[in-house]
Amino acid sequence: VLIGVVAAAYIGLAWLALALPRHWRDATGRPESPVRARAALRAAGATALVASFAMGIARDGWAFGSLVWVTVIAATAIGVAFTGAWRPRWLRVLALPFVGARAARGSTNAATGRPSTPSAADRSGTRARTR
Amino acid sequence: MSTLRQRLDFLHTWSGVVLGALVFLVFVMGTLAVFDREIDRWMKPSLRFAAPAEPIELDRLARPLLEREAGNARHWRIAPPNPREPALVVGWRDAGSGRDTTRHLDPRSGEPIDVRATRGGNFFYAIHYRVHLGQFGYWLAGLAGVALLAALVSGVVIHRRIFTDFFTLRPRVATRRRLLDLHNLTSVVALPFHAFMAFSGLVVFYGIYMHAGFDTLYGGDRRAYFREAQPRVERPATGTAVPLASLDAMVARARARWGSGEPETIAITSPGDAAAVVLMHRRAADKLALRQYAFTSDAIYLDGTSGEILLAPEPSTAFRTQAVISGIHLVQFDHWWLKWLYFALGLLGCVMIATGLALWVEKRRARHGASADFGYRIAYTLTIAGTIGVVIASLAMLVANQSLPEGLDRRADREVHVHFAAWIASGIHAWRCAARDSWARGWVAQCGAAALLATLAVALNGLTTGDHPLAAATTGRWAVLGTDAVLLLAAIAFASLAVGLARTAPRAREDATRASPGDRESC
Repeated sequence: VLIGVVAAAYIGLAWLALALPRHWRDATGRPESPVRARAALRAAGATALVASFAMGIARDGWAFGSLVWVTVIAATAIGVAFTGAWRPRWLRVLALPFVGARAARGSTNAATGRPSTPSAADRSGTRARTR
Repeated sequence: MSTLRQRLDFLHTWSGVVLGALVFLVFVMGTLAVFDREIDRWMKPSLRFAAPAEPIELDRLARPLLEREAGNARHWRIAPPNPREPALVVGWRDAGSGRDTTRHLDPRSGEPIDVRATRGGNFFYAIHYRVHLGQFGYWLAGLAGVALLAALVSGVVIHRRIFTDFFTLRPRVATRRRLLDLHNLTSVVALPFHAFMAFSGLVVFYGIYMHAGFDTLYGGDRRAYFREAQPRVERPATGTAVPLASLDAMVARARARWGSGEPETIAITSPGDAAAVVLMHRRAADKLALRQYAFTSDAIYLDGTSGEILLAPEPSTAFRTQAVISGIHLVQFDHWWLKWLYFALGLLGCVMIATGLALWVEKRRARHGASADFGYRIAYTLTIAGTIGVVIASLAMLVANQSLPEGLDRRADREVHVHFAAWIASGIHAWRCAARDSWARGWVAQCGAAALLATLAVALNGLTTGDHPLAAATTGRWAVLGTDAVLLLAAIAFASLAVGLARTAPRAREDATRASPGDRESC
């Protein structure tokens, strides 16, 4: 269940990160996130963090569970930041549900079917942009 | 608003620069202290065995030696084995000379174990809270805690985009920007943890830092305060000899009162006297709250002659609060995931302080050009010796621990001497590098040295004790394996840091001489 605490925290923080324009742009390659998507990402992120907290409490009780949660949040936030820095495209998987139906179709086409492992073209594209 | 920000920027910068090295020392040693008992076993090869799964018979294993060698001592101490400290430890204070003696015994046979003469893991823990300077050191560590709190609060205020930059880390921008990103990220992300650690560290030693309370209400008599706050059993020796009751029976009674758990320490006052008192503390393996000064409900006083419970004090709410706060700080519970998380966040804190210091030095170097003024040299030396130098010194001590001959005169002290010699060497090297304006060379050389020392420590441990990582994994010596693994990871990290710095150094030098476009763009 600790894996669940960590996974939910990671997903929640990643969604919160995607609610920020910079990370949305890096992950999806789209210039602007729609305002509605941003609000949804924030809500989903907060919900995932609450779920993570609940799992922590269920596993370890209030005393240790909350301590585990606070420390896990900090550690996974570093993980999200590192993903965003070196493999921003990996976060696209998590962004997909929020892209919107029509836009999502376009994005999966561009992502050559497997969005979780970015193609060489994707990666060089990211590099070119950040330079 | 802007003036507030400017003022706090000033506070942040100068509390960071002046006390950064001290805070780093406290932080890195505190991080190591999370695993002090494990490092201890790494440094004392004869204690690398598993503790017995069942509680041991103290009357059979601990008592004969105490009665034989410490028959006239006024105080006995017994620490039964636990998963983190597998040996049975007995100790006593000699009635005449007042000297303390400690013996390690095999928890299965009661035979004495020869333990390598070393300060062990406690060395790092002791630096963490008193910086090797006695009473003054406690105050220094407290100052570090307050400085960290001040730096955290002022840092939050001067950070302009705390939420938009929350996850920001840009690997491909100029060195100084990257340092700032890393500094911001590590500080913001672990802010609650670091703030709580700084605060709870002060709460642990409230008796030292908040002495005004004792002075005002108890005329400075701390014992009077504790007597009132928490009843205890104190009986003067009568001089009438009455044999001590069965220790195992007393442990069973304490266990029944606690409901679960085992005693961590057993203190016996006036053993063999009619007024003998036995004080037991429960090992806080499953609780956050930690006994401090023996004042939680987990302390039990027993009558040494009848074995009956005399007193199981109920602590006041304030005491219980303090016990929880210091328990969270001192991580004595058996929760390995949490320990590793503490360790990781402690390392984040070290990165936060090191990047903060390096950032300041870099800025100053950029502003004043290549000519190194005196203040810059001091700051540069402090930064290197205060961060990577501490790491080098600790690693050198571990190397010395595994390589100094067993029978060496004052062996434990020699290890400490190696520690400080390596530290001083790091400082001299940094000073010379600052003078030659080869700032990158200082970092590269010292990171390389740290990587070498970490590898050497693992290699020496494998060669001299035979517990190389593979053997440790197959025999289940997790403390040894964990220490080795962290050392190897540290070696890899420092080696790649050295290589990376050596590669970016020429580029960074250009950054300093001309305002780099990348730098301005990302501002």
